[in-house]
Amino acid sequence: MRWRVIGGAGLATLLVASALIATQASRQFYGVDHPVNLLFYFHVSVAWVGFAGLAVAAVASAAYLRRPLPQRSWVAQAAVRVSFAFLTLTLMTGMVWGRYIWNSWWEWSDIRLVTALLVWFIYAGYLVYHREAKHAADYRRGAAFCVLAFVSVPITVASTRLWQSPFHGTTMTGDSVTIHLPAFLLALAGMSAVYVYLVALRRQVHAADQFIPASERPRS
Amino acid sequence: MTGLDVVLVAVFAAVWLVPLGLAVRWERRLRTERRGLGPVPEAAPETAAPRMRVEDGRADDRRAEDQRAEAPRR
Repeated sequence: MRWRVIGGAGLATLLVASALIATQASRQFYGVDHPVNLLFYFHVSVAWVGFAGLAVAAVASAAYLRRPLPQRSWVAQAAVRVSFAFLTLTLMTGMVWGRYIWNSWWEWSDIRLVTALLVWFIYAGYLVYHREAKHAADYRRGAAFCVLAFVSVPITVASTRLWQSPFHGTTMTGDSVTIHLPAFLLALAGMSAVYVYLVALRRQVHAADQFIPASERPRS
Repeated sequence: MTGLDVVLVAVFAAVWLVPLGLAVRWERRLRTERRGLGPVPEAAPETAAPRMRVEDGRADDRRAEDQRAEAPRR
């Protein structure tokens, strides 16, 4: 029940953040004045929360490898599933923003875009693998995969600093970006609370699934 | 309003609808599964007793009923 309170609080915080973004935040980024720039607040917050969730999944998977308690595997699977949805939103919001500002949906020459897409594919593989996992050895391999896959996350986060990124600059510290900080922090807090609620909920679904034959479980 | 503006509105909506959709879907699934099972213990099935997996749970329930029937009445 307390997870639902956190989820409700997160939703309320997101509503307040959206109101602030719509009324107070500047629509001018990178010298372009357009409402699409307001996507920034959601794009960055879902990306950060999604990546942080993958760190949680890696820690839970490492703990599972150390001592294979099913609860640890459930937390890792739940965190990856929700992070995957958040990463999908990150890619979608980024593509739409790029279409307006760069006049292009996608740029293969940009390191941040390509590494983010690689992370998305890597964790899509994890989810597909777990869908078919049946035995303890499968879950151990899945956990090892999750720990190794996490290497791709810091590379993506640091990519704009490590390599030349012709389109996607460093977001928060860029000169041409003026952020409404309270709105951004509220959006980040709201997204984090919603994330925690979704992971807790999905973990409970995993717990309930253990009492249902695999053939009768819904595939979602 | 151009087609691109429609996409922009759809993406703003998706930021809300994707988490909400997941929450509704999983809340509904959890409610359905719990209604069928009764309260699900938090512990792993390996350690949770006496309610075990459904496939062998039915056998356990029957065994428990048999034991109750055989127990001497006081």
